[in-house]
Amino acid sequence: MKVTLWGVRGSVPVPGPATVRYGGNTPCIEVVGASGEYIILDVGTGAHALGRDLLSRPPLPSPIHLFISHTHWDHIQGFPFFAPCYVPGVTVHVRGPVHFHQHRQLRDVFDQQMQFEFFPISNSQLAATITYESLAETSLSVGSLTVTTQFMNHSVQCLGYRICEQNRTMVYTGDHEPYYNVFVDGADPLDDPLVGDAGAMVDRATERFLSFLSGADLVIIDCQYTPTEYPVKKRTWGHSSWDYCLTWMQQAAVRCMVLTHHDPLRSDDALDAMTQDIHRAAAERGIDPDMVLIAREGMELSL
Amino acid sequence: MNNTTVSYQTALPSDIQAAAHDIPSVSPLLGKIHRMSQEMETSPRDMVKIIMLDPTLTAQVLRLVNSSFYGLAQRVSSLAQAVVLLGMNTVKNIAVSTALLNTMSLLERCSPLRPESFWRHCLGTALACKTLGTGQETAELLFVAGMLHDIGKILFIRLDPDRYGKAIRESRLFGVCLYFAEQALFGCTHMQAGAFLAHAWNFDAPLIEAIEHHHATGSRSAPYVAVANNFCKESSIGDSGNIVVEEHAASVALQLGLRDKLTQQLAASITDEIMQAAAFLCQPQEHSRL
Ligand SMILES: [Zn+2]
Ligand SMILES: [Zn+2]
Repeated sequence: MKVTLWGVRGSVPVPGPATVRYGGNTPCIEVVGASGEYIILDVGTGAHALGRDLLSRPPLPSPIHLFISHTHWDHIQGFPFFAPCYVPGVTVHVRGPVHFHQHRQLRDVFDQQMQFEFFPISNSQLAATITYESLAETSLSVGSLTVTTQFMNHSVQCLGYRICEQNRTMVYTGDHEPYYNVFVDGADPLDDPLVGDAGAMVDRATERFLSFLSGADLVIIDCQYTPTEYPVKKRTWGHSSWDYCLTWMQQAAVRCMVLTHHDPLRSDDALDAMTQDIHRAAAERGIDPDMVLIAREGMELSL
Repeated sequence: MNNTTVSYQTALPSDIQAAAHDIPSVSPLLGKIHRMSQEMETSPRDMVKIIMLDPTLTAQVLRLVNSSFYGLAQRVSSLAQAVVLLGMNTVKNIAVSTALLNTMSLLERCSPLRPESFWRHCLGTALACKTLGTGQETAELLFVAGMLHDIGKILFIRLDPDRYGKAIRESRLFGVCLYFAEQALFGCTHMQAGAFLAHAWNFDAPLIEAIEHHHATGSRSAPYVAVANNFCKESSIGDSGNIVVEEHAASVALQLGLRDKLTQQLAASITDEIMQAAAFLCQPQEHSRL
């Protein structure tokens, strides 16, 4: 598997002098299997450059398997700008979760962002053959690759993807916040029978998450926040901080971790400083700092 | 149990009383759940409490969480666990749509009336009630009162759809309110039957009262329901079976200072909300199979 990062920024694209080194585009990851299986994880604004790059090195891969972690803007906004969608003869399979709301299917969400108020070309006018499939927790094959999904903890239904090729495994979490006890606020002991042992439920959910990462060679993970930002200001916002990522890396015996979905306010310099903090903390915990990478646009990883 | 309850309970014909026991219950928490869907600040704890107060709804939510829609390999056995695992928004959305769906499926069984039109009438009245009562502490109650004010008609229809069809025809023929024809053919009115049903479902006294007095001036919520009911009729929102526009509703509206609120704009926004709700409820089989 060859993995290339085309967008590493969370929430909103932030081009500009402060983000030239790490990049300002929102999530988009290209995964190419040994037999040419072609997968894209999320189509944030990074998909624009990826599409142009694909056009410049024909022939275009087909089918293109697009897996969407969730339908928040930063993860789908590059779709209308992904050039292969406009090329006749190309097939794009779009798969991802839909939230239980007004019973929209994945296709409806994609149609919606291309309604005429938002975009001049409607989804049905795209020249490529595009199919949609709403995904739940499941497992499926793409050529010789096995793709397994699991729900993450985010404000909307979000799937993580675990991709295995022979004995090589990578995981992309999409957006994920550590599971936590949502019932602690204003605790009334009389309610306890109602809620039950929420602490144990959180532990079980976390274990399930860890088993999804377990033994992976590469995990690309949401790490929007620092340990000082997360518990105070950003709880319930649906993202993780790097101290959690390091803990999970050890607990799930992950070989290499790539921290991504950078906060839009994090400048290149701030990311450099954060990297030092992370590497120091990793070393203290006995993790090889070289195995903890900070995602950067254009980063290529082989496994 | 209060005195009003006793009075209509004894007055109700026995066949009506018997029919009331066959009707599946509507969530008594419909109003709370509806409000929860509109507000951001419900805490996870409060949400779980609200849903758990209705065991049927709780079971339905858990069944859906464990369905193929989520495909979870792991069994979710409690609402709290569902909230931890799938998030507050998910559980909220499921509960709200399930509660509304339950209500609709109940209203659907009214053959002499077009089910969809009748549902529109009920929802339209509920939405009008809520808007008219804005700022009232009882806005939540008003919504449910509007939604369920005609629930007594369902009792009649379940008991004898043909006879109810006859009641509708006769009221139209003679230009009288439908409840006169009901009284003649069923021995009581849909207000009485509805209040009886609401009591059997353990609804709160104010809600029972609103259902019982929605064609009179009444007190508390009842006059709002009366005005909203009439407004929907005048604005051709849905069909309650009753085409007679009631004079007294106009004076009630005046008394409550609601007359300026009864605009075409209100009718348009209600129609719009009904359309959205209809879209919300028109679900693929997988999701409505609860
Ligand atoms: Zn995101
Ligand atoms: Zn997100």
